[in-house]
Amino acid sequence: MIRKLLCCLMLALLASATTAAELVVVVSAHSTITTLRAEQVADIFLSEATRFPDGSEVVALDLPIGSPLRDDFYLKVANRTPALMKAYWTKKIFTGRGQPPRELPNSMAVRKLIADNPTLIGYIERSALDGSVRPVLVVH
Amino acid sequence: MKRWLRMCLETQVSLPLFTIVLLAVVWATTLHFIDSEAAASRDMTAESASELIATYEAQVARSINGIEQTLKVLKYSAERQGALGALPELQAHGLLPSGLVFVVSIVDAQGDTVASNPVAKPINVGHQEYFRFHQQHRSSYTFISQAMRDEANQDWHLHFTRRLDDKNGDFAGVVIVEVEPAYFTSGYERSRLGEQGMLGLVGDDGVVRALRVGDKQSFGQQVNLAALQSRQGVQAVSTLDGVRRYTQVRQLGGLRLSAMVGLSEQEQMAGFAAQRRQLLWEAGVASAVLIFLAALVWAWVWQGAKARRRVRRAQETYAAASESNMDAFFVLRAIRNKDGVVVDFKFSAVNSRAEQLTGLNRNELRAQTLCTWMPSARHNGMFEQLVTVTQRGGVHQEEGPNMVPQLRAEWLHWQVVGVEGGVVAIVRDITERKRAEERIYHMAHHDTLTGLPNRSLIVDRLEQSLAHAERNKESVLVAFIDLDSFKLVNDTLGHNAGDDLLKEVAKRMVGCVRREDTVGRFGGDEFVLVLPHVNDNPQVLEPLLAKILEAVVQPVVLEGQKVQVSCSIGVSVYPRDGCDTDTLMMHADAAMYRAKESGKNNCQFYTREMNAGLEEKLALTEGLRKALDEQQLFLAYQPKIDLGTGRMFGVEALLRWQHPERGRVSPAQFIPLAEENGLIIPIGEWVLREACRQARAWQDAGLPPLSVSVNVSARQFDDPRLVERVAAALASTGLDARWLELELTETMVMRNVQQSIGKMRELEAMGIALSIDDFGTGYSSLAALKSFPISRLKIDQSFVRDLCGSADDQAITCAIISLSHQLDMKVIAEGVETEQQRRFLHANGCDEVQGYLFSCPVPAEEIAEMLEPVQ
Repeated sequence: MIRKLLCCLMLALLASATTAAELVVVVSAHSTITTLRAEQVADIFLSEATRFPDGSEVVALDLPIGSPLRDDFYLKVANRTPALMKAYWTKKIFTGRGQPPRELPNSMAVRKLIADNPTLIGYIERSALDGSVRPVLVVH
Repeated sequence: MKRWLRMCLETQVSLPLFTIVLLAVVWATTLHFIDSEAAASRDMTAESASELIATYEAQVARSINGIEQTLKVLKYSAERQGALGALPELQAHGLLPSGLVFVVSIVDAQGDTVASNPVAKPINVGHQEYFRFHQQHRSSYTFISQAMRDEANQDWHLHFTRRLDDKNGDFAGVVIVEVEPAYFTSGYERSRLGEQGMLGLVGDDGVVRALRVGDKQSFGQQVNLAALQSRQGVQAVSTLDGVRRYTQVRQLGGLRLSAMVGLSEQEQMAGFAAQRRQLLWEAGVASAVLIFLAALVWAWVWQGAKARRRVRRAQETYAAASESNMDAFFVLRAIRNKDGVVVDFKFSAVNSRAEQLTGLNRNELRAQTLCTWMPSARHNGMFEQLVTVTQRGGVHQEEGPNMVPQLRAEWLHWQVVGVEGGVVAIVRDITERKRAEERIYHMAHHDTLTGLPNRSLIVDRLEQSLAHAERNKESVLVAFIDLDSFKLVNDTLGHNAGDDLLKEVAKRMVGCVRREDTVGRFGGDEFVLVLPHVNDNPQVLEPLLAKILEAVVQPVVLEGQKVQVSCSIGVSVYPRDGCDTDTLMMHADAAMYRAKESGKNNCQFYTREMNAGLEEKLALTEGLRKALDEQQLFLAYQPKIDLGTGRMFGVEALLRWQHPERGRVSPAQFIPLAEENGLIIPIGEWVLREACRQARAWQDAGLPPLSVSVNVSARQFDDPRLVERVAAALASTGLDARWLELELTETMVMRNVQQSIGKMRELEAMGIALSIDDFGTGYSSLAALKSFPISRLKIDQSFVRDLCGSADDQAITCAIISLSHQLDMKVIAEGVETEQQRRFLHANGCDEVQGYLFSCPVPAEEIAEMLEPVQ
């Protein structure tokens, strides 16, 4: 009970801290995907799923290690801290069950790459959103 | 052997054995199963470890392969593009490993980091081991360093490095891939390795590069790789943390590195341990249940066996007891008609005593019923009694004379005990006991010699008669009969003759009395008659009593001699002379004594005065007892005179009693009394001592020595200690024996002549003089007199008294004087009262005299006075 309360409190704090940099998960505007749930997004980014729910192939794009947006994204979508993410990928890589998503320098680069390729998925700042991409999940 | 086999077949033995076997089987099976399970579990763990090492080896090989690939790409790019261009190029092509896990960097020939991804602080690594290794070795070998930290990367890292060459092949720097040791153990899966499993990489130098046990990551420890390899697949205690593990080690091809997998024995065997516990528990419960059930069954069987044993023992005990019993046992089963009424009894068991009692053997008895065998049972109440006990139970006993001819006994004791379905009759032949009882009863109530009722029966009869007389206003006579000269017969003819006399007299008395009268014997020569049914005048029975007197006085032939005895009869009458048995008998006794006193051979009826005399006697006896203690007795001395010289030469000591109330009591009155109750012995001894003492006292006072004579009574003379007592009296007083004279009587000496002579000789030997007192009045044997050591004869005063008037007495006196002189004895006359008597005696040669003529008996002091003037 206390843990639950603490979790709620932390989420609330984080939400308030990042209101300025709201995250959106985006796919190409050409994609047929319109919306995804947080778990679905997490699975894709954690290399648990390699296809969209409709069965089409998907490749995730990431932001650089240490960027606040990236840490925020994983915390909110996958509920993992950077340390947990590092441990997760260490095991994944060692056992050969997957590689972390390709990293791009910033939201703009992500958006640019996604716009033309419907198999890609990424997350960007809300402010970087435009018509070339379609937000499928807004992360608060 | 057979015994053992039989014992084993008994349930109470075989059951525990069977239980033990069953338990053994259960436990053997369980333990065997556990054993095989343990082996299987161990095999599975070993196999699991093998599988894991294979997987792990493959993963590590692939990872290192990937790292080497990266190093090669880096080297290629750096050598072509230069250190600065290499990383961006590879980044652009996605050829760099994830920066999340790996740090790649390029170091120039001087050891400075030129580039790194992710970007890190540039440092110099010139002093590092790997740098120097590559600087010195021109090879494409991938160096794997131990875990370390540096300024650029504060976390512990393993460094995988390769040498960079320039165009000439000289050392141009190093490319590095850094990775955390934990990377190599990230494949740890709890599901397969558990909490205490182990994954690790060990260099050929024995230094652990990476190690994970459960969640714990570590590195840098030193292990003995050779030892680990030698113990592959066997559980052994890990030197790292002390946990027992199944360890597998696999050398990685082409690398100086080994992969290591360990499985904790405890965890891997946990399933087995749980199973083992479960099995043991189940086996335990099964055993407990088995034992409990076996115990229950055993207890039940044991109870049964015990009960059977008890029954058997009871039967054996009964058989033994009844067979050896002196009582006859008849076990009778009731025979009932269809209404349930008992109509007869059947003999179901009898013992051998019963056979003896009935004269039939047990088969003959069993073939009959009670009433066919003993038809009288139906009429004499026996059958009825048995039926009652059968129906009501309990015990019925009785004893009585045998009424049925079928049983061979005069008296029987019956005990009938009701049992299930019948009765047990225990019959005892008590004929012997009854006869003995009768004998004892007769013995207790009858005199054995005469067969007459004894004292207790006479008292009984008298009481009955008194009770009867009281109701019918009658009188009862009680007569005491005492034979007059019985003692003489007994003494002279012997006890057998005495017994014959008593029997004869008893017979005669019985012949004289009426049918309802009782003749009894009280013991000795005393008989008692109880004569009931007398009317107011008791004198009517005088003829009967006279008849008895007459009958007794008839001569009897004993030992060939005709003997004649008489009897004295004393009679008391109920209710005139007393109302109870004691009084009547006491009065009859008194009357009998009166009859004796009145010259014997007569019958006296009790009168009141007799009783007074008796009481007088009792009072005197009582007084005499005290007299000695209270010094009421004293001695008087009568001088004895030598007729020749006219001088006193001795004294006779005479006993006197000064009664405090009655005054002087005559010796004639109290001496027979003392004789009768035995007081004469202590009194006699006192007299002896006192006389000796006095004689000695006179001598000590300087008076001329006097002979002192002391009378000895019959009882004293019969005392076996007489000589001893006399010697003691002399010794204690210090009197010389020659001054003591003992006076005996003819009768006492003649009673047992031989014994008397012995005694007298002993006394004479001591120096004591002996004289015969009252000579001429008793019975004497002159022959015996001759052999007695007598020094003096004393002429009885009855002869002296009439000496002057009676020619007979003169003749007797002269004869005695002559006789004693013939026998060389002195002669003394007593009771000399006149001068004439003295003169006669002197003239006829009598030596000595004593009597009132000279002096009456006087106190000791007067004797002393009489002696003094002579001096």
